Amino acid sequence: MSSLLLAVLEGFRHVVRQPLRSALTAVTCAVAIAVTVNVISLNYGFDEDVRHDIARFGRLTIDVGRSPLIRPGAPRATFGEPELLRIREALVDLSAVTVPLRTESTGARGDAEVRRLVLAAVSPDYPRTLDVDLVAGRWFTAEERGLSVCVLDRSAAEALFPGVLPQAVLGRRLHLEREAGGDPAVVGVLDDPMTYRAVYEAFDESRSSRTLAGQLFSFRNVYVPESALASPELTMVHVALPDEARFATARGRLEAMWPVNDPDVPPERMSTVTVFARRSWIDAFGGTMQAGALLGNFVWMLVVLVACIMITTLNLITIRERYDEIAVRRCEGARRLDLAVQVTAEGLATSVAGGLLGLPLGYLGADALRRIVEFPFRFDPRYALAAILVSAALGAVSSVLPARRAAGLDPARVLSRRVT
Amino acid sequence: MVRLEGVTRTYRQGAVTVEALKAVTIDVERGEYVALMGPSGSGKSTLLHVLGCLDRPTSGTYLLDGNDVTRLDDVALARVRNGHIGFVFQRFHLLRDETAIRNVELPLLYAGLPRAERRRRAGEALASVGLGAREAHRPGQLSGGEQQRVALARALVKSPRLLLADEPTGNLDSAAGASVLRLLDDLNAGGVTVILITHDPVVAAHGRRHLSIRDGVVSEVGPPVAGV
Amino acid sequence: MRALDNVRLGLSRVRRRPVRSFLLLQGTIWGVAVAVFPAAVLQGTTEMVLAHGAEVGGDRVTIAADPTAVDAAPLETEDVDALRRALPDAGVAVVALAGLRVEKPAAPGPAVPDAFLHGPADAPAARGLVLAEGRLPVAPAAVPEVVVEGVLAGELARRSGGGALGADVPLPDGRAARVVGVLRERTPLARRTNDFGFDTEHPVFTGVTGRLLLHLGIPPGDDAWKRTDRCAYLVAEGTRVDWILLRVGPAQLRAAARAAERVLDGRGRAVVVFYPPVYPLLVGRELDRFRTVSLALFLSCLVMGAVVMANVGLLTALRRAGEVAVHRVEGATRRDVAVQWLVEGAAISTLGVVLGALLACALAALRVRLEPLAGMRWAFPWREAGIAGAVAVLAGVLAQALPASRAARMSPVDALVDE
Repeated sequence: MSSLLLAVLEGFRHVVRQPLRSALTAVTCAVAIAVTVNVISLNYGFDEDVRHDIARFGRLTIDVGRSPLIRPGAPRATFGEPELLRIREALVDLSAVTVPLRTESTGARGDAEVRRLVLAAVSPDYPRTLDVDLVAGRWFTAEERGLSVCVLDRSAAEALFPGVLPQAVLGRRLHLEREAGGDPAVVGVLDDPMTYRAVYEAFDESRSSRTLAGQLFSFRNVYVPESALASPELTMVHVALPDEARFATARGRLEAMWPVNDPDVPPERMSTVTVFARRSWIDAFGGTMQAGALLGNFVWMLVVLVACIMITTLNLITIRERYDEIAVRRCEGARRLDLAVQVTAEGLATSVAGGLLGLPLGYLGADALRRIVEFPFRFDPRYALAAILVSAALGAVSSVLPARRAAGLDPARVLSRRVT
Repeated sequence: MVRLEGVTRTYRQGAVTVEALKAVTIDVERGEYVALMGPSGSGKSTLLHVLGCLDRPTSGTYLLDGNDVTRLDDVALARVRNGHIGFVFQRFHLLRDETAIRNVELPLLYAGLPRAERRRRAGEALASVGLGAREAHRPGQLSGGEQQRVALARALVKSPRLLLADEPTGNLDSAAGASVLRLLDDLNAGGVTVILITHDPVVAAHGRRHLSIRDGVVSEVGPPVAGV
Repeated sequence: MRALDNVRLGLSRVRRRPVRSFLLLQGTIWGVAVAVFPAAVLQGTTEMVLAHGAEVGGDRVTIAADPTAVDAAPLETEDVDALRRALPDAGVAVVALAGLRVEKPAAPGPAVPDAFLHGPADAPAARGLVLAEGRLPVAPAAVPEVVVEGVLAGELARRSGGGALGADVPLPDGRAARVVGVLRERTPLARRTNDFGFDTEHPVFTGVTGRLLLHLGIPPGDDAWKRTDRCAYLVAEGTRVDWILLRVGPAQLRAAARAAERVLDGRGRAVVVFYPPVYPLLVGRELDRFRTVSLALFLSCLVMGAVVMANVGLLTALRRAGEVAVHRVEGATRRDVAVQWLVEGAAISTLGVVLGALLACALAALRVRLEPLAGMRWAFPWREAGIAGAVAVLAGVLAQALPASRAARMSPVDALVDE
């Protein structure tokens, strides 16, 4: 054991004796690790954040509404009180919270004017369809009716009252730019579940769309009591279930009433009412994010592979230069294993040193990229350990061939050439 | 042809100053065949390097064909070596990854000759040492004697005025060594000034003038006695 | 002559160690590939969309009434007129604009249109269709007039034994309409492309994207007729409009869509707007800032490569001391030695640049194949490749600077000492 330790120490001594070359090798590792830690942080950090956000959209909630099928000229599907009744009857034993939704598109003016917001008339049970909390105030009560009060999504509050904290928005009034008018007072502000709203809105093409996806994502609504909008028709019914078992049962019953539309079915035979479990979307989107994160791993793996190839080549060339030294060590009693350990220790020492250097480099890189690209590049310290492990693996792998070469050297052949 | 006047060469080895050459003064006429003998560490290689313009003396003057080469800069010295001085070393010092003919072409390349001309002259030089059929061989494919003859061809191809041979037979068997020495004899007969460095009296006997070097001091001696 | 020989000597050293040279230029290869590949896809797609926007849906906005809206009202010809008035004020240059009402035939069959499209006489232009023969229909006319699309015209021609012009087409109300014009048949790609710009027959679309769109509640249009080239156009009677088609320049696509939505929203219309969302991002160069990311990766690979080359150079300078000494002995100056080393660095890097560019092209071709967007193409980005290549070669030369200087400064005497 002690001779192996000696071999390790010899490896470290060699690194110190060749400062320039060791430093150059360490720099190579540092660059590779800087890229690695950045990509991993972005990949998994971003993925984690987005999945955390969308998980709050209501994993135990089912939406029922008109199918988003464009069939101009076809009779408009009805969706109103009769359907709401059917839903309630079907789920009567499941402790479901059923929230009818009526919406209207409107402009609104607070301190600033917003061209278009969705006015959503819902019951006081609406918050139970989401895992999103109020950051200020309260939800409206069953006694509050009409357009007397409203609750704002946080991004709507920020658009209507720029620069005003949510707490300070409470009690303010906004003017609705609609034919029937309305000046509700703000009683509550709902948190914005989207951490990366700025990124989303930069690429959002469905911002004003009233598709299901648009509604789920936008969170730019003005919530008013149920009685504020009097249309007999409903936009949607939200059904929130208390647990997984009852969610599954409810889903089964609702899909039996209105079968899920398959893209392969011709539109004229598709159901005019859609049952949409939010988790399908959450899981599908989460799966897409995960796939993206996995693909993103290819980037750092490629960079590390390139570094590995180059450092292996470099180490092989170095070993060739040291044939004499290796031969002499063998003459003086070093075993093949000792030499292999020494060479590996050299590789590990430089690569781990490089890895440690790569961390501040990665931090600076993330900072610069975040400012230039305006995308949430980050350096997440949680992944620093993973990056160091990668650098150690890089050093170990790129030492395999050189260690084999050093260990396999025949000292007699090397020395006899010199002795001529 | 070659005149050294009070040439000294000193080196620093750590804290110690070593005087490898001490006020060496020698004169070599054109066409002479000089054998320089000395034990290991006597300074004979240093002397050869100074003679070959590979090294500058610390003090003293070196006149080559009447020109003081001690004052020349690096570029000028390179030109002198390229045009006037041929080298043959104990360990041949051929380019391992080049063919025999390309090894021989090397000085002509630095002389700026066109490719076809280089190839022609190199071919002739190789043929003159009996290796015309081995142009395309690499040093690894040649015997020791053949490699040394390639080195000789490389030295000859530029028609040097001065040929410096440092233990040319040191790595050869007696037959190969004898053939190399014969070539040197022929060259000298053709008018080339040859300075041969050796520790072997049998080899030294080929020279017609004999110098000895010991501890950096050169002195004129008689022909060596074989076996001593 | 001497300079050229120095270059040849430098290159010959690269040739002598092909495997090592190839391994050493991995950094350059992948760095250049990372720099060139995204630029290739960006450039190719942008060129395609700008030159052939009509074929890949890069110039079209399609608008329909939102079927899920509670307060929805169907679209009308007045809405189209409102757009025609308001869009230029919003800075949108309208190429063509039409509202269409779709009427299905009583019974499908050969030489029977898949759909009758009622709209203004120049409605085909709004779909990017070009008149090949005849003229556009006029109304009112004694006999109803139609313009037919290319595939249908072919069927009518085969049935009549002559051309399609003058052929009769049965209308759903039992009357017969006369063909007065024939539209040029579109390319297969143009036919396959839907309102989002996707190639509907691409395996990735049919397997993944199409389902995802439905999942997201993005309505698939009832639009098989849009892709068959078997429709007939009549001058509209009545005010109902099922689809509004707007053609603009590809660079204005998003602005046009948003402006149209604003106008219609102001008129109390709840609409869904379709257009390929990716193309405006590319054409508008909004993704340019992400080039910084590929630049960062490029520089990372390049730095790694240059550093290792410098390291190897320093090592081999030592090992090749004997070889360098022989050159110096035979007349090479320090400058000759330095030039040979620098040329070696430039040669390796140039080779890496070429291989990296080839790799980038292969990656771009693969990426384009996997993409269901109809307009995705790749084109060799000479500018980016030139810049990346020049930087990579310079890095290779700089990497050899220290080794070259060391090799040049080595004393031949030290290498030749035999004692």
